[in-house]
Amino acid sequence: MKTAIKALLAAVGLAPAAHVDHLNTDLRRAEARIAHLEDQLVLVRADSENWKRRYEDASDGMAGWKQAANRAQGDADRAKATTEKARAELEALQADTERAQARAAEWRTRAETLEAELHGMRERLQDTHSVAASAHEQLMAMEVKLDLIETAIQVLDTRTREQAVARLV
Amino acid sequence: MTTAAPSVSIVVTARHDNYGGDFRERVAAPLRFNYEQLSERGVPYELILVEWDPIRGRPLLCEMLANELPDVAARLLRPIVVAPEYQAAMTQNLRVPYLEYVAKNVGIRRAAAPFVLVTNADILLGREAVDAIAERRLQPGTMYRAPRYDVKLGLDPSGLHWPALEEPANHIARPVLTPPLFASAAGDFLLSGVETFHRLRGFNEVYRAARAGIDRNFMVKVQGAGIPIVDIGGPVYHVNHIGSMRVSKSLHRDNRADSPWGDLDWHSEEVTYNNPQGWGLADAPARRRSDGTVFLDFDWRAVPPLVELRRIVLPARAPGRGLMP
Repeated sequence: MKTAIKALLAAVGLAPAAHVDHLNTDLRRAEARIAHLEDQLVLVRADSENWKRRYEDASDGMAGWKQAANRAQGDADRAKATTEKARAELEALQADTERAQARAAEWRTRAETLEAELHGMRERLQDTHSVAASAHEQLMAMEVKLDLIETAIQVLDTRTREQAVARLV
Repeated sequence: MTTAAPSVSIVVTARHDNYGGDFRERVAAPLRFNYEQLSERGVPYELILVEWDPIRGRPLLCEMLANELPDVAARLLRPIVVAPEYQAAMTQNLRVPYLEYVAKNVGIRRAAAPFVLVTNADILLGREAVDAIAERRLQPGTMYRAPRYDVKLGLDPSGLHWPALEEPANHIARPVLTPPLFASAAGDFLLSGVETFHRLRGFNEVYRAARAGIDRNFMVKVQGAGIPIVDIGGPVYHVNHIGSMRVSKSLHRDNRADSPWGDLDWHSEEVTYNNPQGWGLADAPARRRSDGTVFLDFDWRAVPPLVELRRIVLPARAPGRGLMP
């Protein structure tokens, strides 16, 4: 019955009051929901703006970092070139050092040889010096003895002459 | 003056020939000076005066000293008069008229005291030497030396006292004794134990061709014998006189081998000697006169050979004076 009535009323464009109340309630809910969504939309927009700024800041930062990276890369490239140049020079120096070491070893060998020769010469010099000093001493002694012989002969000669003259007189 | 046994025999040699000027100034005054200084300090000593080759016809020096210095002559003087034949027999160089160091050996050989000071009659002892003797600080195995300061020629004899002698303005030369030999003017002051002199057998009697350098040659022997040589700490003084070697040797610079002191350049530092046992005329016959004067009469047995080359030897080198420079 009730269903029939409702169909009848619906045919003339009417609806039961409960139904209208219900629809009104739904409408109010929908409106509240819309208001809420609008608020949410505002928040989302604000959040979006915020993120946009942060994105822009990040983009700016990234651009700066990119420039820095580019500069660093340049520096790295130059450093690499310098390093390679230094390595080349080092290798050249190492080669020079090895040649110098070889020469030093050769000179050391020569020096050792010369030192040995010098040591031998010094020993011979000392021996010679010792012999010379000894010879000098002997020579001095011989000179003194010769002096004595000479003066003694003179004394004897004088005595002999005196005696000879005395004998004649 | 004490009459105790002498602690020092002072050996000098001289003769009355007025060598270097009036003997009163040159010999008597220094002997008196030394007598006064040693007596004041109570040093008992004997003064052995060896008159070598006395000149015939002249009074003996010891007789003149007996008049000039009666105290010294009576108490201390032991004159030894050596017959002139020894000079004639022993000379190896007729240009050298006085074998000074053989004469000194005569005195050393006959010294009675435990210490012997060999000096010259015209040497005045310095304060430090007198102190060392008086205080008996001497070691018998050490050879003591003193530098000789030459006092200017013509100094007033009344200026013979220590303050004047020590005044640098009165000095001509102030040599410093230098090691190892300390040899400068060694003949003017050599002091050691009598046994040390006997061990060395005195001065060189083998090489008698020179008078110069014999004292240096003695120092070579001293050093070679390992005997310590010590500067006694002060000088002795010598009043310069005409004819002294120091004053006159420049006169012989062109003929240094023919000076009255013999060859001034003989190798006195390069050789040494080994005197025979009879050194110092040990075998000469002695005759004592009543006044105590001893006469050594001539005897060929006391005379060493004219030449004995094996007694010229090389000195033992002390550390630091070896063959190597």
